[in-house]
Amino acid sequence: MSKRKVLVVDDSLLARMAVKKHINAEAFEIYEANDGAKGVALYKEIMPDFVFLDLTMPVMDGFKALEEIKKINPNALVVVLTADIQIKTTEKIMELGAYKVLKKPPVKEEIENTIKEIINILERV
Amino acid sequence: MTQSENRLILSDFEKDALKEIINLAFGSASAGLADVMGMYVFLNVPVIEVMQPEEICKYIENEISLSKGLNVVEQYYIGKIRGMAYMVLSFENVDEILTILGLKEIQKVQSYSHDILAQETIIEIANIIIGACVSKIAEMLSDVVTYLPPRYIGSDYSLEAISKELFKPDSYVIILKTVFKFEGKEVNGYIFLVNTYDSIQWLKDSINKFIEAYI
Repeated sequence: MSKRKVLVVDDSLLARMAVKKHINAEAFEIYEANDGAKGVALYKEIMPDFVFLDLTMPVMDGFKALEEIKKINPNALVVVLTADIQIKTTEKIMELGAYKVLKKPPVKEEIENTIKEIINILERV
Repeated sequence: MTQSENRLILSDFEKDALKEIINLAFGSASAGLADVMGMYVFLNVPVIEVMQPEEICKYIENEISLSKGLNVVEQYYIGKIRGMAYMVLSFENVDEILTILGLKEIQKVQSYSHDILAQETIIEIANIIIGACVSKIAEMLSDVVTYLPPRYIGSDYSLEAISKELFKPDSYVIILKTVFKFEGKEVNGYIFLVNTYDSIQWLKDSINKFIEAYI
């Protein structure tokens, strides 16, 4: 069985590494992009099963990238990771169709549980 | 400063980590500011620059148009990380902030001086945003900082004089810059955190400890 694909979009290498360490590399193919525009382009190319997306990024921010990804695939499963704890930010992200918002820095249990939830969803489809 | 000299102070990966730390800190700061302002706050990707003290003034002036005057608030922070924080707003921005907060109406009714009200308001905003940013950075790097009260230095500020007073001429400073905007309003402000040379080694070590714990 082929591996599931995960796309991690964050301008910070450190932040991408922090997410990747909680993803089982034997079970997933992990792809990375360091800004929103590259993330959208890579999404279109590889059509990953789900995405971890940062918000504050150069070139194209996470809000716009989320919008673009949802245009490509309205059912895209996008988990937004953000340090911005304003309620309105969370509301806006959910309105744009994110699957979930997780607070940065990423917590192991939250990432692992979110991946489990997503796998359950994907297996039901 | 050449790129290689710049890297001697902080490697690209350390800069990347520091940017992420600032991102986390400004995320908390924006929530505090949004509560006070009652509106959504946007933050840009932070920028980190390493330079010599005499370059600070020119750098900040290049970033912000001085043609219409500025409001500047400074606040000194002291811990293992030490330096001066500046919040910079244009005069038009301060007027807009007073309108957003409904203070222009109060000013009319209660006959407060516009200038005093403007100063007090931006000092309070600076206090919230600088406090949240610096404290969060310090917390993430296992430091505790204390602050001197924020000081309004107005449009006739002299960053040159301040930088001479605070920073040794042959040293380096790390500038951390971010721009914040209010939703639907033409209000842009800048925050600069200018850290002294003697905190750089500590900062480097702490960033590396943070990296180890983070990944």
